[in-house]
Order: sequence, then C-alpha cells, then structure tokens
Amino acid sequence: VAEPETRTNARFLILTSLASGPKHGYAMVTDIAEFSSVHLGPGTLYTALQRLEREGLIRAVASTDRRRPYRITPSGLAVLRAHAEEARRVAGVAARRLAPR
Amino acid sequence: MKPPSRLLRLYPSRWRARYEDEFLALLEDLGPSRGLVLDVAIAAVRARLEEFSAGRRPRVASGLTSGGELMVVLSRQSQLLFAIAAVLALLGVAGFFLHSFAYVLALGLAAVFGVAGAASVSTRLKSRRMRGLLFGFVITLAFVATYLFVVSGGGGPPAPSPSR
Repeated sequence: VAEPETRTNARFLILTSLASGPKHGYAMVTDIAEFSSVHLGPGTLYTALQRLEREGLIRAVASTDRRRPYRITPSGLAVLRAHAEEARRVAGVAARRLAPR
Repeated sequence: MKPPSRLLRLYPSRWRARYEDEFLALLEDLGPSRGLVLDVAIAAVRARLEEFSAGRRPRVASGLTSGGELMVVLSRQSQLLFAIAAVLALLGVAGFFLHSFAYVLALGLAAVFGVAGAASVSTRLKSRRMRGLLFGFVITLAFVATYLFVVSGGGGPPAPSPSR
C-alpha cells in the first residue's frame, strides 16, 4: 500500500517542520520523525532543502556552527498554507466517502 | 561504521562547496543506519542530474557512467524494473558466452523490463532532454544486444564439426 502523499512528500514535511521555527538538519529529521513517523534520509533531506532554497521557500540562517539552521520564508509559508488546505480538503472528501451510509 | 563521507565525492563540486560541511555534521549526528549509503548515493546522482539538466554539465567520465547514473536516480518501481532488467541482461550475457539459447530469451525480457522502466521514469521526468537521454540509452542497449545476436549468427551451441 502506497504511503499517503502528504507523509511521503519531503518538501511538505520540511516546510511543516520549519513552520515552528528555524532548525538545522538533524533537528528537522527528528522533528519530522516525531510528527509523521517518516524517517528522512540525509540525502533525501538535502535534495529537498536545495530545491526549496533555490525556489526561495526556505533560507539558510547565518551561523558559525557547522549545523546550519534554515528558516521558512513568507513564500514558503504561503505554499505550506495552500498545501495544507488542499490536503485538508482531500482528507475531508475521503472521510465523507468512507463514512457509513 | 564510519559515515559515508567518501560518498560526498559523488556530488558535484558546486553542491559540495555549499552543503558539504553541514551535510557531514548531519551524517555524524545521525550515525550509521540501514539504507544510509544508498540514500546518500541516490541523492548524489540526483544532484548531478539536476546540474546536468540545468545546463551545467558535470565531468562525466563516459557515456556508460551517464547511463548508470540515469538508472540509479529512478523512483521505486522503476528501480525494481531496472534491477530485473539488469539481472536478466547479466543472465543473457552469461548465456551468450555459454552458447545457450536461453540468452536470447533473457536479453529479450531484459529489453522489455528496460523499456517498461524507461516508460515509468519518463512520466516523472519534466525535462525533455532527460527523457531523450533515457530513451537514447535504452535504444542503444537494444542495438548492442541485436548486434551481438547477429554477429554470433543467432547464438546457441557451436555446430558439430563434420565427421570423416
């Protein structure tokens, strides 16, 4: 059985994690594992981070530490809101159609 | 087990200049785990393909390496299809050298799985150039297999020498 899209979409998971504040890679991986039970590999995480950064949805925070934090941008928040709304709408349809008649 | 820091050499130099330090820090924090090496290797191939499709051509040693990279980057079902194709192709090559007719069937099935894998990937590739490269690779493989078949005279066991 395929995983639900919202759980397997690394971009959505990362934006959701960063919505509560800036985090570095390890903090994101553990946070995502806690709220979704999805364990993102480091390669998968940085592939998504690179794309999100290129699209201007997240930004690296200046840091002297090797563990560089990232924060979500206003554009990232807008994308996350739209994605969350879409997921909520689809989940609502699914719930209604699964309800006993 | 040490973090697979050597795998970082697979990444493009631009990527390493930007992310290497923090990526190594993350590998140290996470420690060894099952599937880590594969995850990092696949991500490295993705990074190279992205650079390639963005017009910044990486230093790829040969066309064979490009083909290998293309095959590794694929998603789950495609990986399975290509893995089956690769195993069948190996069996086919082994059969060819053993003069067994089974190699024809194995290579034929390998081609079928290869094309199925390519079709599966092409639906996810947004770049027309990448699609062209992928199909070009598969078609080249098919031509090589056909050439081997023709050159071998149809394959099979060697004809018995005439008795006197």
